[in-house]
Amino acid sequence: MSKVSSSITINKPIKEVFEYMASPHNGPAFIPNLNENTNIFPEEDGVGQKFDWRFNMAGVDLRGKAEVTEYAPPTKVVISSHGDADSTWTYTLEEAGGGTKASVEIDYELAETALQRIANKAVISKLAQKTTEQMLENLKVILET
Amino acid sequence: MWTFYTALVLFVLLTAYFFVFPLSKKRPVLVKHGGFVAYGIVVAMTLYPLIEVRPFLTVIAVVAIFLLFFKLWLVYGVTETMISDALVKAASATRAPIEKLDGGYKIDNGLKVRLRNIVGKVHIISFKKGDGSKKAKLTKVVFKKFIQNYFV
Repeated sequence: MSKVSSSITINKPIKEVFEYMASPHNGPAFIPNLNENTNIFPEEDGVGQKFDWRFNMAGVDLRGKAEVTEYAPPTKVVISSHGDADSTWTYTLEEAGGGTKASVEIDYELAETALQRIANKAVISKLAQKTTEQMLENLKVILET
Repeated sequence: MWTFYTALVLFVLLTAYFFVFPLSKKRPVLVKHGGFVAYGIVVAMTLYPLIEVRPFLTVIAVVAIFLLFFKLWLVYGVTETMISDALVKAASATRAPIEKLDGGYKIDNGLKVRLRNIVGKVHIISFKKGDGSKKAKLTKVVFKKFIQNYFV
């Protein structure tokens, strides 16, 4: 398993940040390379919510299924996913001077076939780190402006 | 001669990347302006040894420069309604204000997006920056994803 993490301060109330970030419907809007989350069920966010995801990295589709395994509003969400990339996404939020400190931690392991189709581990690690940083930047742009 | 073979290899790779891969997965083709210019140059380099087509190479070069200057996307495989829906959905996802204009939309009070149907399911999407905000740029990225999520 490899791990990447990043955090950012968003000048919005913690509840608003949590509600946007925790919904799988909003994933493609702020997560780079995540093309779509489909078959989201049930509609209501919470533990047990499942969905299918499709990433596109350098023209190669990665697919899999995900499930929300921990849901503690407005501070923490954990999503476990399996498929071409097995990963656990942990979103942690805390109040910070009138705003919200949002942190993302991703533990991931790419299936060997998917890995071979794209690049080596060092490149993937850089891409994953860039993804966590960019997703938080995007979140800030969406919620603050 | 090596220039011709290099161009030929690039032509095959770019054709696969822009057209064959998406269509083989029944997804729409979407080529951005930079991709057009690269493809145009490679096509011109590949065809240059054929003396009969040299006059057409000038046309290809002019079209490539035109596409680079006007920031256009070529989309094949979806209807105009689907493209409009993708843009409205993208603006909603990024919480960007969207205003309907004649033949297009204005995103986040700045970026103008024009949709033009060329023929059948072939479209040109053009972007004219007013005040291109970060949110407008992000909406453009999400718009591209949503178009590519459709099936042909």
